[in-house]
Amino acid sequence: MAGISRYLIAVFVIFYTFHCFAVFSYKHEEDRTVFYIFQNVLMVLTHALAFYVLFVKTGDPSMLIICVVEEIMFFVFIIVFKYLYPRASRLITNNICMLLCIGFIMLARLSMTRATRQLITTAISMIIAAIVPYLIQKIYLVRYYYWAAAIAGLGILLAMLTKGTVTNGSRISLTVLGFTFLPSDLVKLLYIFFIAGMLTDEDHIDPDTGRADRPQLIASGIVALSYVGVLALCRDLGSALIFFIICLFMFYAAYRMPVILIGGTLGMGAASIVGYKAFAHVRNRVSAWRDPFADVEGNGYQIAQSLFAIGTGSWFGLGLMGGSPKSIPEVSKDFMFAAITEEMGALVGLCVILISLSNFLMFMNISIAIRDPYLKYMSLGLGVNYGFQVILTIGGVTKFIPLTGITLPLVSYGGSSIMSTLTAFAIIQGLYIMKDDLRE
Amino acid sequence: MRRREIWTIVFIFLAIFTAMMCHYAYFVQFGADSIINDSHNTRKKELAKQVIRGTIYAADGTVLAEEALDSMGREVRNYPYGSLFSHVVGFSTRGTSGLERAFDIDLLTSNAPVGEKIQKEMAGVRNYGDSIYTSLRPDLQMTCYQALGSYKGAIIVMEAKTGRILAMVSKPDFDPNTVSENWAAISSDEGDSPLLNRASQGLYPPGSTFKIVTLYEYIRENPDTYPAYRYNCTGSITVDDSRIECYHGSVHGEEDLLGSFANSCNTSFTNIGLGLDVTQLSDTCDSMLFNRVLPTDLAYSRSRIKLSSLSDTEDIMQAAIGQGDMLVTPLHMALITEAISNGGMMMLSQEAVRKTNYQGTLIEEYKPKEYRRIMSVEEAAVLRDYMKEVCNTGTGKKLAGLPYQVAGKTGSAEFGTVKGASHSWFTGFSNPDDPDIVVTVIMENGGSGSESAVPAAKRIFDVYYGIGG
Repeated sequence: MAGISRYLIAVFVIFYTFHCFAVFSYKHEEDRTVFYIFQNVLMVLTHALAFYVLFVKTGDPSMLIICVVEEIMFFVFIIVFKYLYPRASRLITNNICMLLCIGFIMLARLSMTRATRQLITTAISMIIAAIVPYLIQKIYLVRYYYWAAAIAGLGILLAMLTKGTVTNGSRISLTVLGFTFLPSDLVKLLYIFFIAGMLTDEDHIDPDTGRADRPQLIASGIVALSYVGVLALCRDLGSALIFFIICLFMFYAAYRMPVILIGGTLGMGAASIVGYKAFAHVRNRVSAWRDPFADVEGNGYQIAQSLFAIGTGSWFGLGLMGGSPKSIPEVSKDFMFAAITEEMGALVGLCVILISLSNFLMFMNISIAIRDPYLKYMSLGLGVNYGFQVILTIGGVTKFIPLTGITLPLVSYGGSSIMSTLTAFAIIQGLYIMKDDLRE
Repeated sequence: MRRREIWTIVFIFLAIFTAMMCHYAYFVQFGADSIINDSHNTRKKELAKQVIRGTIYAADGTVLAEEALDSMGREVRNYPYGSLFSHVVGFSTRGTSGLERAFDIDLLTSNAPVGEKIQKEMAGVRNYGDSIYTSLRPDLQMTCYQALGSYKGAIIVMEAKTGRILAMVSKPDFDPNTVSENWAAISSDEGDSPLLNRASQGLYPPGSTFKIVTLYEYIRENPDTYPAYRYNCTGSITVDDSRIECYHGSVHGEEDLLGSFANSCNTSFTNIGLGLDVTQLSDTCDSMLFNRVLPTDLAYSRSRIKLSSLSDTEDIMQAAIGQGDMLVTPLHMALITEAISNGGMMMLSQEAVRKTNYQGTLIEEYKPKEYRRIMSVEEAAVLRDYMKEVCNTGTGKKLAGLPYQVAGKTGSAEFGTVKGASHSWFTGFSNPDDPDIVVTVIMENGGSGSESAVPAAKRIFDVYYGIGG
């Protein structure tokens, strides 16, 4: 059984992914129910089989315990969510669970301690995620307090800049009351609330164009750039890039001017050149991306190990416990995708990309469907944030683009990332619930 | 409202996602092979736990390397020919070398039928890795081995039109079957360095074999007047206090370019060298892959040459006759010779012909590949005629009057500080009008080219053409 498990797992995940897109052949959500249940079955099969293999290969009985606990958690989450919010998108709920499930499998394989911690933060995040859709329907006033969001976000970032802990040359984590977290994940949500609020405040809408007036645009631009600037000072250039892109796309959608996209891209290019000249670690990452094998023992080590992992794993992978993903530094964070490819295969890897793409499309779908401009821009911002994170991390790991140190949402290890991503997904679920009332 | 912009954003993301997935899939399918064979990839040993390392075959189908069980029932790597193929086939028991290294991942990858693979994986049994069929010929390899005798050095036999290696011997050698057990002794033997594949990694002064390059450069710089070249050899030449003598004090008298080359006249070639444009000569050497990457799967050293407009008279005089600040590998010399035989087109040097699964089903064919044109067809034809003359009347005339025709160049490369001690070189090819094989021989401290290397080459040509024996 353990022998062919990797093929079975690949088949399960492929079937699951297929249904992410096949459900749309049915117009009504009721007709799709059977697909969603089938997805749940495949998810359980994947998870149970993978943990069975881990148990057989390691002989560690805690594998079975964590397996059961996780499945109970998924079960409760799916049932409770469906009961509380019958109109929420079940595809989004399933995708959240499937990506978490793949992440849990690899984490348990890599480090039981981290798997357990991830399980706990996920459980807490799921409770938050169960409340958020309710809140988002009720708390309408939040949209008018965008300046409060902006100041709070900037304050947290400045605290990170002055008091943060330095990891790998970047100042990205903050410790409060004994809990260490990555503020940029939380601040990102505040930032999106802020821009969405700025762009849609009725008091500042130009009556001629129907868009936010010039002072509003300039003010939000300045705030956005100061966020990006502080992140750059923290040397968290990956996050700085994401913040910039979010702002760019939200402005573009609001002002409908392609020149924003073009100008923004040019500006980004110029900023990249400045970053390249100013920061040694940017130069290192670019040269490691160009030719990781030029300095395979040093600068290019991480990306070379990642490529070895992906290449050796090939389409079906070496099987769980069959590879050596631990040879990749930061494997459970930035390089989770390489570990998945190494042991579960590139077919599962492609499915992870497609499931993520499916999520992105669900974010954008609601952004297109919903009428309320505030919610429209907010869901757009959240979607761009999610999609771009996926591109930066998977692109970096596969040498498509230079490494940026961004983790794969829902899959990589990291409490703040799980919490902020689940919150973002819960907001989107809230919008799906309101969709029919607010349809354009 | 604002739908179009959101759709635009969706399409931008879709495009990036698609490009990223294509990049990823392309890497897994096509890009990964060359990368994962890197020696820094420690995952190979993980593969070995799942796959029984494949077999390497000779051109005649005999086994060069295979997995076998020893008397205790333990799995070992067996090399039936012992030390005969020690360098080119290499070993996989203590690190990897040779073809065992170049095709490490291929041998550890199973392309057995899918049904069988799954069945075995279910049973928890390892699958069979793929096999590599090579162009190596045990008969020629044995001849080379014997022809090299007790000399240190190397012999390469290459198919002229394809660049395929038929034989490659390097001595001193070692027994790959016991390399792991005897590792301490083998790896610490710095005097003999038996692990070094002298054929591709040994760096030697090229001596007179370099006159091929000098001649080529002279013809290029004087395309119309080179047949009119005349020189009177008095046995030595002295310029700016630097003196070059002909080998063992020979005096060649009045000679043209053909005669100078055939008799390997040092003084005449020094004279030629002094008339050359040094920068252009240096460029020519670069284009012939000096200081450059060589087209081979095996571990190799780069040939070195230091020539520039700053080189002084003595440097240039020494360079013209292949002494001085330059070193070549026998494989590089064989590749240059191959290119001349092949109308100026250098082929990729290859040992592997095809990869099959363990049952013999073809997985991949390694077709002969053109690597780089190093001279025009016409220039190659001129060099070929000059090299023919060497073997008809010149220093290689032990190869004259045989049932086959040979074109080549001898060399006696002085080394170290001992006066008169030289490595014996020969590089050439048979049947120049429709070339068959390239043979390159270097015998350390073997005296002049005609003394040791030419007779060794003759034995190899004889066996190839089925003569004598």
